[in-house]
Amino acid sequence: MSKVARAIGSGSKILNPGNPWTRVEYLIFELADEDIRANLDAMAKLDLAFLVRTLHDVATGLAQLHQAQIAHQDLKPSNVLVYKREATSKICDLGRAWDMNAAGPHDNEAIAGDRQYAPIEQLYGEKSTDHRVRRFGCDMYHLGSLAVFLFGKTHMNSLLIDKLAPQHRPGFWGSGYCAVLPFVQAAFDLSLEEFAQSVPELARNDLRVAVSQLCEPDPVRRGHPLNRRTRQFSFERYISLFDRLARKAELRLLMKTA
Amino acid sequence: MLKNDDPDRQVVPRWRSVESALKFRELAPLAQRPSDAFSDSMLDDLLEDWKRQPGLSVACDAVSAAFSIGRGQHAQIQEIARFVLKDGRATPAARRIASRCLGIETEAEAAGLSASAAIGGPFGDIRATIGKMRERLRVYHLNPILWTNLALAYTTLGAREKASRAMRVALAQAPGHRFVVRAASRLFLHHGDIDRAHAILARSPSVEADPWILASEIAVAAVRGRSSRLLAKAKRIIEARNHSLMHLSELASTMATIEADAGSAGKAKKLCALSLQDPAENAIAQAAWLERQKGIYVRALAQPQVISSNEAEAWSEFQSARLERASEAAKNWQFEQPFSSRPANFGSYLFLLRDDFRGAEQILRIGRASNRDDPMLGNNLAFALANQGRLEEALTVLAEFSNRTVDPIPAVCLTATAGFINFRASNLESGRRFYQRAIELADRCGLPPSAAMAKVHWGIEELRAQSNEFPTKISEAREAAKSLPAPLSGIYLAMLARAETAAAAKPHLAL
Repeated sequence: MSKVARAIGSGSKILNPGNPWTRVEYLIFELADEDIRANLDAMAKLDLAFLVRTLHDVATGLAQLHQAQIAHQDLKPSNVLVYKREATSKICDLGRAWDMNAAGPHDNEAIAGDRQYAPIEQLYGEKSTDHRVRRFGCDMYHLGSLAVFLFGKTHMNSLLIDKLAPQHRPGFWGSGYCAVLPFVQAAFDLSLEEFAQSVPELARNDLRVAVSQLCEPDPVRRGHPLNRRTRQFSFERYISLFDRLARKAELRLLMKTA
Repeated sequence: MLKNDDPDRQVVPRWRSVESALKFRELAPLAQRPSDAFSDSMLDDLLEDWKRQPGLSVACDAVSAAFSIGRGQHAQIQEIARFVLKDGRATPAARRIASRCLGIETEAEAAGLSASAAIGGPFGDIRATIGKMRERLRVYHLNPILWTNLALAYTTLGAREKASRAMRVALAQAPGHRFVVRAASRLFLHHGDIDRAHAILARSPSVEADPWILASEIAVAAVRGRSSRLLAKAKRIIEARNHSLMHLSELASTMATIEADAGSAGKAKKLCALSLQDPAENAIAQAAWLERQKGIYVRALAQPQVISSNEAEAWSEFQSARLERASEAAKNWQFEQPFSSRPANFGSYLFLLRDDFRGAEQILRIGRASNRDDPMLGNNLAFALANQGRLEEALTVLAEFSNRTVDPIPAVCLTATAGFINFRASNLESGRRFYQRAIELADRCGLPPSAAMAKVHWGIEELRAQSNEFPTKISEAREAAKSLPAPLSGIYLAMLARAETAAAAKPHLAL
């Protein structure tokens, strides 16, 4: 679990000594420098190598969790921590995670993580009975949406909703996800185009295709098409892609500085 | 020359671009979500982050997340959105979302869903739009709405096979979707494949649940000459009123037509009135047709509606002899249904009655792109061209129908137009023979209005030619015009008067 923030201690504390109900359980994680958002603000200009490397690290972290049959379900910018000394990023906050081998407190919730970042189908109240689609598909969507945030400073959900007619948005539509899906897909097509505009040309096409697969609004079709029959929600292809793109960008950076 | 009003109009589904369908409320959800799906408390963590770490990325994160759950109006989010807009480093996408939260950009753009997916209308460069759509589908192909719009664009150009292919993909991707299913059915109706048009609706997984699809199924079954197996179901749905009146409008209108055809005028009237309480565009057009053709008058039709029907407006203005308004409405009707022959037919006729031959030609060129075999459109185009002095082109168009069997009305029109072209080519005798033949044919087929119209045009041509026969023929023409029903009588008398004024002003036209 090299790309998942490690808990190094735990404990509990009563905040108000007179009141036993104010007891708080806590976990201590290895110290990170900052979350990814602070790091983005510190960048003088868009650093493609860093951004794609971050995506690579996060995809690796999610793959490591999935390997252990755990779905994170709450990946968002504030849950990506930057460790400068190790020159890496890690995912943190497994408070909403789903473990295939152990029951968790949020397992029965329609949306396990923060609603604002939930996969678009979950915003419409869609709840797949297939745990792979619901749990691992959620992580996949979050990874794509993180890519949108890193480059465009917005989320896939807001891009999508912005392009939907008001009556087709999640807060209004109450006729089931299947009936609204074609409209969402039409909005998704335009959102991909918009996302692509924020990506440097070196990685534009690759990232557009990757995000189109990661955030596909139809959760049953989410993921790499070649993985659809088996290991639909595998991150391996994306890890390779992000690694290749990061190397390309790093090489270009080296050549420029040389 | 007017082909009679559709004698058997059914509420077959309209096929419009998705933008237009949205405007006409055909894509609204059957059920609305409870308003408490999302709440302000969902923003607490983000607002806490903003207090601790007030940077651009946190601001963008907060604004974007709030917008996703429809909480862009939250006071603190608005403050953060202003911060985003002030920061020059914010990306265009982040700035737009911040603007949306602040209400700086209207929702009108969003209501258009996908402006770039629109076909551009019949007067736009449809070929360029098709190119763009195909390019987008190459990048992301799971887009049944765009496939449907592509099929519409192909149909508008008359590319049937390509349209069918695009529609098949859309259907495979969204077999139960209201917009796709209704569009597909309309496409195959346009192609004359009525069985298939009906099967698509009847087999749709949503046919019994969605009153819009159910209405289309019943209407297309009627076109097919069959009675739908879902009539009882439709009655129950209307009686139950579990859906809003707007969603029931087309279904009530369809059932009104079924009842009217069965001779139950009372039931038809009640259903028609129901269909107009919160009407769909097609229901308004159908109510106007029921009034014209079946004498079923519903008072609500005369009252202002939430939306208007260009088809109904065109007919209504025509009946009031306001030809300019009628032709504009018909033009808009064609803009919505560019592939349909009906707006092209009626619209071109209205332009011809106003002596606007260029306007008629424009509307006909669009209509003929996907209705090349329609003899009335060919006839009207030949007439419009000949009136502009383009006789060779007019003859070429007319020749397309020379060896074809056509219905009596277009046959009369085509023959009379041949007479007209001969007059304009100074072949007076030949022109007279054609006009005579047209009138005889109309008489034989029991079409007195067609015969009368031919007489009016013949008289005008004799007058224009200042021939020896013109006093007799003008007199006959005037009588013929008087015999026409309103509003045609007044329109044709005015046409005669215009011709007489022109002849008096330009005596040099005499041969």
